[in-house]
Amino acid sequence: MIEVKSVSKIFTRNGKSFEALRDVSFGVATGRFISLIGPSGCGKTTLLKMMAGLIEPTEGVIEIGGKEVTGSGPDRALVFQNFVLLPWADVLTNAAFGLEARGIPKKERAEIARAHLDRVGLGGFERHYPHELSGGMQQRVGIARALAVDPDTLLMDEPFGSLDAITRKVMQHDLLRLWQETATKTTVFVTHSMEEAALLADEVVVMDTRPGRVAQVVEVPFPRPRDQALSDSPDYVQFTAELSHNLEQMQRIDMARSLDDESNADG
Amino acid sequence: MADIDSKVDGRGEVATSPRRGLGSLLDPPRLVGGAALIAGFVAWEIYARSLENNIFFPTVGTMAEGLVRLVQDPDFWGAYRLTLVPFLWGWVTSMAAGVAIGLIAGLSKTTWKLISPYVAFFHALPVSVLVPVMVVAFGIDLLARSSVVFLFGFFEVLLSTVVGIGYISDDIRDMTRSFGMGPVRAFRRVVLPGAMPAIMAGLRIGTGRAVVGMVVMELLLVSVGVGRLIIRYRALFQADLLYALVVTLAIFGLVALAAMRRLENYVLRWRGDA
Amino acid sequence: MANWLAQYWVQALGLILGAVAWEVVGRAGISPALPPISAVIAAGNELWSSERFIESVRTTAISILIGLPPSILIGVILGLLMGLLPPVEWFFRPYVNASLSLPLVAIIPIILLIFGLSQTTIVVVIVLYVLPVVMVNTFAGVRGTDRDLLDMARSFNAQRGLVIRRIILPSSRALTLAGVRIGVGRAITGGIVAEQVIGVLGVGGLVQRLGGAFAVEALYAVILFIGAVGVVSLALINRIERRYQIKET
Repeated sequence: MIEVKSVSKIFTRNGKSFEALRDVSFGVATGRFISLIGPSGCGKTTLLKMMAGLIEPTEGVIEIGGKEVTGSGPDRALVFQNFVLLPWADVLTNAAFGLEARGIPKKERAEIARAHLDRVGLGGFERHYPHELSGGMQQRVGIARALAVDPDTLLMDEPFGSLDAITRKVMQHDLLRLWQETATKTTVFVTHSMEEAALLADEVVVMDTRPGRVAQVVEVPFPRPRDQALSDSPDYVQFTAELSHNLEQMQRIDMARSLDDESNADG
Repeated sequence: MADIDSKVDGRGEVATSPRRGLGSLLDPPRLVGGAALIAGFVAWEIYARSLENNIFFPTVGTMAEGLVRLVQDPDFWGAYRLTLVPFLWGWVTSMAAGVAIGLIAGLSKTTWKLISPYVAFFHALPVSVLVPVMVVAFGIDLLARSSVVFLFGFFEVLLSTVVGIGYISDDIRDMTRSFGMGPVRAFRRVVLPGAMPAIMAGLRIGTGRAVVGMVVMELLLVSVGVGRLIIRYRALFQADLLYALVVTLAIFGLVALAAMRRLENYVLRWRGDA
Repeated sequence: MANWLAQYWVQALGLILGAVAWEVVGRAGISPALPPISAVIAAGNELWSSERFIESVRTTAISILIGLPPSILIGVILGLLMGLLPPVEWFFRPYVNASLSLPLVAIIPIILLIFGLSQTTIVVVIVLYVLPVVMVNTFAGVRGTDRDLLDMARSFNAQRGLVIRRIILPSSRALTLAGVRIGVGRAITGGIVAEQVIGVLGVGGLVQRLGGAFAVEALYAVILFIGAVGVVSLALINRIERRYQIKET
C-alpha cells in the first residue's frame, strides 16, 4: 500500500524557486496498477522519483507499507524512459545489475537474470550489447532488470516514451500480458498517453500543472483480464477520448498562462 | 560542478555555493585550493632553506625581492618592449590569417580536402622545430621572430574556425536556401554567428599558443629582448631574477588569456549563463 | 584500397600537387631555405643511417620512455582520485589550472638552471608537460559520468564500490584515453623543445645544429620525420580510443 500524504516539492536553483508539487495526496492499494498522467511539468516524474526514494519531499510524506520512504530500497524497482543501460556491458550483465547491487553471487544472478530475460522475450540475446538492440528490446532489458530483483512495487517512468508508435503498442500489450500473468505487483506507471493509461491501469491519477497537483482520480472501468481487443472497443475509445480532451484543455490553459506570465514579465 | 555525492544525498537539488561576498572565500573548494597553494609555498620555503647552497632554489622572500628589483630596472621594461613587437605582429597576423583561411576552408569542402593533410601534419608537429627553418629563411630579424609567433598561433585558429563552420550543418544551409536567402546573407546572418563560439574559442587558445611562441622565440633565437635577460641571469647565476622573470612571463600569459576570455564573453554575450 | 582512394583522392591530389610545387619552386632557387623535395629526400636517405641521427633519436626516445609512462600512471590515478573525492580535486585545482593556462615553456630556463644541460632536464620537462593534462582529462571523464546511470544505480541501492567499478571507471575510459593521447603529443613537443633549448641533445638538439650549419635539406628531412612520428602515434592512439568510445545506438 502506497500512501502519498500532502506531498509538496520546491526546487531551488540559483536563488530562484520552482514549485513542482503542491499538496498532493492519494493512495495506491497493494497489487493495483495505477497511472500518473498529466501535461509536462505537472511533477509526475518527480513524484515517481520520490516514491523510489531518490528525491525527498519538501513537505509531507510518502509511506509504503506503513513505513516512510527515506531512500531507495529492495522493495522497489525503477524502469526508465531512456532505458539507462550500461553501454559497455552485455544484456545479461545489465539485467543482473540490480541483483549484483544486492550482493547476489555471480552464478545465481546469471540464472535469475536469464530467466527474466526469457520472460520478456529476450532469450538468446544475453551476449548482445545495448547498441546492437532496438529501442524496444533495450527497454525489455530494463524491465527484466527491474523484475529480476522481485520488488514489491514497480515504478515505471514513461517507459515507452522513447519508442516509435508501433513498438510502443507491442510493448504495451506485452506489459499488460506480463503483468496480468504473474503475481501482480503494485505498479505506478507515469505516462503522457491516455490510451496507454486506460489500457494498462486500474486507476488513473490525472495531474494538473504549475504547480503540480491532483486534478482528478478516475477508476478505469474495464474488467480484467484485458487483452488487445480492448483497444478497439467503443467504450474504451469513448473513455479515453473524454479524458484526453480534459488533458488537452489543461495543457492549453497552461500554455496561455505561461504566455501571460511572459508578457507580464516583459511589460 | 556538482559532484557525485550531491546526487547521492537524496535531495535532488543542485547545490549552489554563494558567489558573492566573503561567503565565497570560505566555501570549501576555494579554501582547500588556497591552502594547497600556501602549502606549496611553505614546502618550497622549507626546502630552499634546508639547502646549504640554494643558488638554484631561492626562498620565496628572495624571489619576491628579485621581482621588485626587476620591475624597477629599466632594462627589464626595454627588453619586454623589444619582445612585444614581434609578438604583436605575429599574433595579429596569425589570428587574421587563421580566421580568413579557416573560413574559406570551412565553406569550401574541396579547399579543405586539399589542405587537410598539411594541416594535420603541422598540427601533429611540434611547431618549435620550424624555428631553425625560419632562421635559415629570414635570419634573426623582426620577420623571423614574428613568423615564429605566427606559426604557433595560426594552426590553432585555422582548425577551430574550420570546425566552427563545420558545426553549421548542411540542414541549416538547406534551410536558408529554401527560404531564398542568398549565400552572402546566409553567411552573415546564420553561418558566421553560428560559428562564432568555436572561432572565439580558437582565438583564445591561439593567443595562448602565440604567447608560447613568443617564449620559444626568446629562448631559441638569439634575441635582444627577454631572451637576452634569461641568458644573462643564467650565466650569472642570478636565480632570483630568473625566477622573477619567469613569473612575469607567466603573468603576461595569464593577462593575455584573461583579456581574450573577456573579449570572448563580450562577443558571445547572447549565450547567457552557460 | 580502391575504396580508400575514392574517398580521399582530393587529399591525395593536394599532397601530390604540393610535392610537385615544392620541387619546382625548390629548383628555381628562390631561397636557400627552400630546397627541392628531391634534395630533401636524398639528404634524408643519407641521414637515416648516420650515427648522429640514430643517436639523437635514441636519446629522445629514452627521455620519453622514462618520462611518459610514470606521468600517465600517476596522472590517471590522481585524476581518478580528484574525480571521486572532492577534497582532492580542490587541492590540485590551482596547480592543474595554472600549468594549463600558463605558457609552460617559460619554466624551461628554471629547470635548466636546476638540472643543467642534461637528459634529466628533458625528462622533468616531459613530466611537467604530461601530468596536468592526463590528470585533467581523467578527472573530466569521471565527472562526466552520465547522471542517469548514477541515478539508476542509486535506485537499485548499489554500493559505492560497485558504482565505481561498473559505471564510473568504464564510463571514464574514453576521456582518459583522450588525455593519454594529448599527453603523448605533449611529451614529444615538450621533450623536443627542451632539447632545442639545450641545443646538443636528442632530436631537438639535432634540429638546432642542422639549422646552425645551414644543412637545410637534412633539416627538412628531420622535420618530416618528426611530423611523421607525430601523425602515426596520434593515429594509433586514435584507433585505440575509438574502440573504447561509448557506442550510441
